[in-house]
Amino acid sequence: MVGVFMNEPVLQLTNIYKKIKGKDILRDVNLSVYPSEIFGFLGANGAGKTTTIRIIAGLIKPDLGKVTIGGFSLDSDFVRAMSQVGCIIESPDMYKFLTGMENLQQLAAMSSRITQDRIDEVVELVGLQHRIEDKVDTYSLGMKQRLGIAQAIMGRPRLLILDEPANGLDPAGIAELRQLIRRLAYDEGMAVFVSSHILAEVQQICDTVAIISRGVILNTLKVKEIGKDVMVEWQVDKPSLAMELLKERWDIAAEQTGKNRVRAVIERVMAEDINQAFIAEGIRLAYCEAHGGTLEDLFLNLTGGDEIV
Amino acid sequence: MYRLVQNEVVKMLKKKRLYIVLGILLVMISAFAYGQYHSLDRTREQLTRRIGMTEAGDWRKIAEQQIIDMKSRLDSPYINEQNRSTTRVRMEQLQYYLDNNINPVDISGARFTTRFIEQSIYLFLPLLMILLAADMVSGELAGGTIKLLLVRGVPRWKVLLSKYLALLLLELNVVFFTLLISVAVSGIFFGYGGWTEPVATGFQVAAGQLVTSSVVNVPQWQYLLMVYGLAYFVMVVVGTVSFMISVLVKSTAASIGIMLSTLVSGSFLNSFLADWTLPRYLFMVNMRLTDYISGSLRPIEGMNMTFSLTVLAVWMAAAIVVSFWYFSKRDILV
Amino acid sequence: MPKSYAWYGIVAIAVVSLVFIVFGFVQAVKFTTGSPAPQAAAVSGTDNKPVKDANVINLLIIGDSIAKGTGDEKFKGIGGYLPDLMKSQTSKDIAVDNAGIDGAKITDLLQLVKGGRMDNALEAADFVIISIGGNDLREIQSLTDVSREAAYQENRAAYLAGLKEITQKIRTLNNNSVLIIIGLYDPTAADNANENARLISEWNYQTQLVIAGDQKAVFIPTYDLFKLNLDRFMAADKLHPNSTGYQMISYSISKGIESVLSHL
Repeated sequence: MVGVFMNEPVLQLTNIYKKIKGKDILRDVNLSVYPSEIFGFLGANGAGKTTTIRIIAGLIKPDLGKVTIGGFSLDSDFVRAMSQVGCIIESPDMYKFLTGMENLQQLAAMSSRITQDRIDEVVELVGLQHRIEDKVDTYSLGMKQRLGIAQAIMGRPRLLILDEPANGLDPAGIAELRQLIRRLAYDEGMAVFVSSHILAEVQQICDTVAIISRGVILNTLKVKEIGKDVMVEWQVDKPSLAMELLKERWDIAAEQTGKNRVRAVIERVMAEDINQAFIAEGIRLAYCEAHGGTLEDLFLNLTGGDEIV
Repeated sequence: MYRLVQNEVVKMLKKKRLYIVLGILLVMISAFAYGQYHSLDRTREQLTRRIGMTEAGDWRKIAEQQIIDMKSRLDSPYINEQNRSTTRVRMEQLQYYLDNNINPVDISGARFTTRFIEQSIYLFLPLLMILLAADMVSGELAGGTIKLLLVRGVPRWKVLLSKYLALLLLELNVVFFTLLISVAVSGIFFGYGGWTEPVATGFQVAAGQLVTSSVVNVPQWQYLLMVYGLAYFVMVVVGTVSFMISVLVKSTAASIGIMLSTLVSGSFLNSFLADWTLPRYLFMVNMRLTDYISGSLRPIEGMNMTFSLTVLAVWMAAAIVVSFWYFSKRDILV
Repeated sequence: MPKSYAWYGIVAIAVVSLVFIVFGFVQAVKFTTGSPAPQAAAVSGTDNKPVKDANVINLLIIGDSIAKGTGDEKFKGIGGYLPDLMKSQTSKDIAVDNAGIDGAKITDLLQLVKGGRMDNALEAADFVIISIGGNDLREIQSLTDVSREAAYQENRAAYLAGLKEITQKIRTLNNNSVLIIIGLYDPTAADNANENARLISEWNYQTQLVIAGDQKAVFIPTYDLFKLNLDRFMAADKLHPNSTGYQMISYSISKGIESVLSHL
């Protein structure tokens, strides 16, 4: 491992532009993924997620920009860069006429570090021990997905790229996958790059999320911080007093949306204090409603209900 | 690289592709041998006519007579160099038959094998090569498995080279088995002899004429090896071009279709060779290399062994360059 | 990782195959390239250049075994008997050059004449006697089925074309010599007599047509001469003429050229 500092990103995309068949697919994409970080890449279908992943994996060359993996430029130092990567891209296409084990062995033979023991270990990890000697064309989608994960992680990569990994897995499988990813990231220090269009999953598992729409990254933020803000609506008997209070004490601009209704965007943690303050000032509080604060809301807001481009 | 090539060969074996090719070979050779065997009578009659013997005649006496004739012909002061060589060669052949008590009209196992390879060098064997090569890359593109290969930190050119080397290895095997099966099957019908039989070679083409002044006899086994070597060279060229098509085209069906049409068009273009200069630079009309050593060609101005070999070599080199260049540059969207 | 035995087999076979291939390929290239042995195609020149001596009549006999004289128990043939017969018509010496070859067919004779080495002899010849075609015709006579007619037509057409070329070539070299073409006879005794008669007669007839326009060419027929005399004129092999037969042919020739001789 060459000069690893926990502060240096394992994956870095700088100013990536890509046109395919005349259409802009990616415009000025920048992102960084750090060791032990689970990075989510969120976007509607056609937003540019898979293209980005292909560029990271070296399958597509960007028109402009740079990809750096573990400090090595993908362009000029392909071998050293890609040796640190394990990935599944779109569907995990394996050789149907080979067994699962043969597939893994062939792929393992391509790099010198992977031993049979490691293969066996990985097979157990993804839960395929009982079917690994069967031909892949007898596998279900979920099994193929697991096999795909197996081939991605067997080389102990520093960067793991998963393109829609939950695809085809049943709920139990998804839960297992979540655990596996967490273990790989937190226990083994892998940087994991997950792309998905399933918001709930991303919110559950990722540390950081980048939202991409029509080839542009709209926002990159820490998942912890989502839901920090909420939109709250109060039913109060003295709306103007409430609004004044909000303005004076917390510098929050509120609006009156009905005869006795006040609405404002506040930080979630302040809700209790505000409610208490209202009551202390003699405002009768009928109820308060909170909207937003999920990733879904954020996403829809940002992307404005993206159509597939 | 060793392991990569091993991977590719194993994949081909597991796909049963090689076994299918060998199976086809077995069937074809058996059918061909059986057919030859059945038409033996007619073949004998044709040969008899050509040599000038009567069917009822004793071939030994006639052969002896012909040898005497040829001797006196060689002594004649008017004979020119061309005739001298061919006459002498023919005389040696007849002498061999006499010495070994072989009726020259009969087909031996060795002769059948040679003839089979000569016949199949320009259509049948290339077809088999196409079966092997056509989906080496396009199959992976269509199936999406190419992604797996390219994200392993192995440079693209190495991946492609391993496939190409695997192809060459398999082609070596196919040619070998062609020989083996030929000898085995023909032995059943025609016996296992004939290896020292003299065959005429040494024909050259100069200025559009067949030059026979350097014609000599070589033993059948040597001639067969010559045919074998040439056959492999042609196979490699066809395989390489097919490989290139496989790289350029995503669909295996299209890949096979293109190569087939190319080969077939070669047969058509053969008739234009004398008049139109362009077709001779195409690889598919230069595949009949064995015609050059057997002297059974219709000589065309400017086309000789060196020319054909050069054309084939250039095509092979170009195909390799195009394959590697394109494969390294292309975006993989599957 | 499992080592596949098939893989090792493939590699081993490939290596063996490659060795053979390289050997064979190199040989093949060796035999078909490099400079061909020098051909003395256009060069004239043999050691015995017939001298164009005004006091010598040059007799050139070319063609097949009949030209050569095979079958004659006295080993003389046309080249032996004809000069004797000619002596009574001329006082000049007669030089005989015999290039007859057993088994020669039309293609053989054509190659010989076109080859160039005979040019001097042809130029100097006063009489050129040609016997050819018998072997070409005999080729198809052993056929008994339907293919025979087609083969006959083919062979005859080739023969006539070749003969025409030969006569043309001779004429370009020598306008003055007399060409004498010896016709075919039927050596067999009346098996399929009608059929043979037709084949041979048509052959001879077409031959006559080839030289019909040439004022200095004659056709010497032998068919009827031999028809009733097979036991007297044929050699032991029942194919070639014997001494008597050759003498008969020579006699016919000498009669045909009598007037020409007296003017020489």
